[in-house]
Amino acid sequence: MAAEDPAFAEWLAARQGTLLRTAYLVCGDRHTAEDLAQTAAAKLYLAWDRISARGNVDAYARRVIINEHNSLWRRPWKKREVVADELPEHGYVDHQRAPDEVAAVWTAVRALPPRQRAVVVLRYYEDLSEAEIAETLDVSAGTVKSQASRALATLRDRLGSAFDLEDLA
Amino acid sequence: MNNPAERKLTHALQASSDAMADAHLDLGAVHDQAHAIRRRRRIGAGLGAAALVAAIAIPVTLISQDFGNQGAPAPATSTSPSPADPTTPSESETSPPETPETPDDPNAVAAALEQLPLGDGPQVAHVVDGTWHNADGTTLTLPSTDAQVVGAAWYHGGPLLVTNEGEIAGSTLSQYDASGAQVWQVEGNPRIAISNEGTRLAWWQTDADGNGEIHAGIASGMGEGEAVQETGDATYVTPIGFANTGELVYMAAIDEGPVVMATDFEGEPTRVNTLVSASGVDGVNNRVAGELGSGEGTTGAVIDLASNEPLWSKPGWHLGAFSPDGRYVVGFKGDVDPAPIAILDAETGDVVAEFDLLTDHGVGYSFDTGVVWEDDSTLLVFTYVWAGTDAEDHPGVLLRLAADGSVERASEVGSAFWVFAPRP
Repeated sequence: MAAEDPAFAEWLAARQGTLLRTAYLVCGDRHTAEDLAQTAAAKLYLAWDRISARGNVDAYARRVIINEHNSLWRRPWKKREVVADELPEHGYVDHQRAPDEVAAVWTAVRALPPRQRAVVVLRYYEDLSEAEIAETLDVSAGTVKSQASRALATLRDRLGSAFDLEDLA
Repeated sequence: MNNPAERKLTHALQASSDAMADAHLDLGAVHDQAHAIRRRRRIGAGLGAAALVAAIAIPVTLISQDFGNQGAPAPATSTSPSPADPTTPSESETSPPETPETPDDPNAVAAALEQLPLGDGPQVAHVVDGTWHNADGTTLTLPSTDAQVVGAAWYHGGPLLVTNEGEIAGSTLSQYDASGAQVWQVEGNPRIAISNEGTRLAWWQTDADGNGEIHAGIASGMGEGEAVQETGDATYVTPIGFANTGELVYMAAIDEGPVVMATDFEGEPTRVNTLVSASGVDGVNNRVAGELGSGEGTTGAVIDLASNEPLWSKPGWHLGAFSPDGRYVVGFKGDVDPAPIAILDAETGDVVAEFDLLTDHGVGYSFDTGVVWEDDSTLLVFTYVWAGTDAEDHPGVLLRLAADGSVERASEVGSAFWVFAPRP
């Protein structure tokens, strides 16, 4: 282990914001996001020497978040946060677009099945390529395409007229 | 990403993620969690620090003639592996204390464990050191794998092994026949459910697109008559157990959260909406143990599956599996880790016997894979020395906890990593 590794501390300080935000977008719940991000950081800490040497630290952290979220229910009595329909108390600040537009999109994204939501988050928030998403989710590029296509079709269906998403690919 | 709609979507995600703008990860908490993860990995002694400590080193080939080694189960002194235990200090060997000086002293804890009475070896099917051990004492050398074996069952005339490839990969179920040939391999849930009488088992598997199915088959069969239930949008499914109606109770993770379901593999699955999670099914009396979905905090409960009504509940407790005869149910007291284990009266929830393994013996355990019913009134618990840093090894030992409150060892203290075959 990279005990008290300053490089890890530096990485965590620099990247924890993105880690927490990605976790939140994946799970839709603030407390679960904190748990996911901390678990990802802890596992990364344990594997720091190996992962940092490969230079794919962020990718590893994203994979842990996605996999941890997928396996959130493995433990029968692990304390869980149930995703609610309401928006979080900690609201967003949006100076350029009406909050109700953002809220509508976020509500629609949160309603997507988890794998489709993960694809959307990785594509449109993390700005990953199809290949990078496929690697993160451990699926084929074709699966990423099909999941993205289904997700966008759902978003168009739910938001099309209200949010002008007809031109999504 | 020049598409205006895509930019809107990106913007909405960025804005929504501002919910975490004031969140912060504490480096100390990350270290603590990392140490806890490492400690669990280092169950057992004598394995290299860089290795997956819990991994089972499995011999190269399945030697079919090994299966058939006859004889009654040998006592723990011979069935449990007994590699040299480099962590056992010579001082403790010469003058072991009666009790641990403190649970914080791993050497003293290990030495005190050695002083517990040693009973028979485990009387349930299990895997240890790359060998499948049947309850009747017959053994089979398992196929080679570098992965960590986290589950094992007997199906299709051979071992069904569950392995975890690494830190972030899911679980792989690999079915072998008696000759050692791999019959099939799928991704899925490491938990395999089995009926009370041991005749039916069920597992959950997914394909590359994430489409899941529950499969249920005859445990002694060759895969014939396998029933399949698709699990739709559920992202993760955990088979729990069979009711006396033949229904399988399972947990499913769906967008709205965890749900408990039951399926007869013919009609639409039904929701067991009294519970938000399930941990055991009493196939004799048609009861389910789990957690209630209402109220603050944890409330363990046993419900009647037919009426979906709680029979009793126990705030602050988590529940585990029912004894094979349905008389008892395992209880875990509180949200601490490791929690005290109790044998509860399944009819009333009253505590029959309670064991605080950390306080009394300085050991921890895995509640979801390390606690099984050996018979109708005794539990086997795969425990490991809790104390020590992540740089140290954590010797393990099987403990037998009885409804009369007694505790004995069912193995030597050492580096073995025990995986139990599914139990009701």
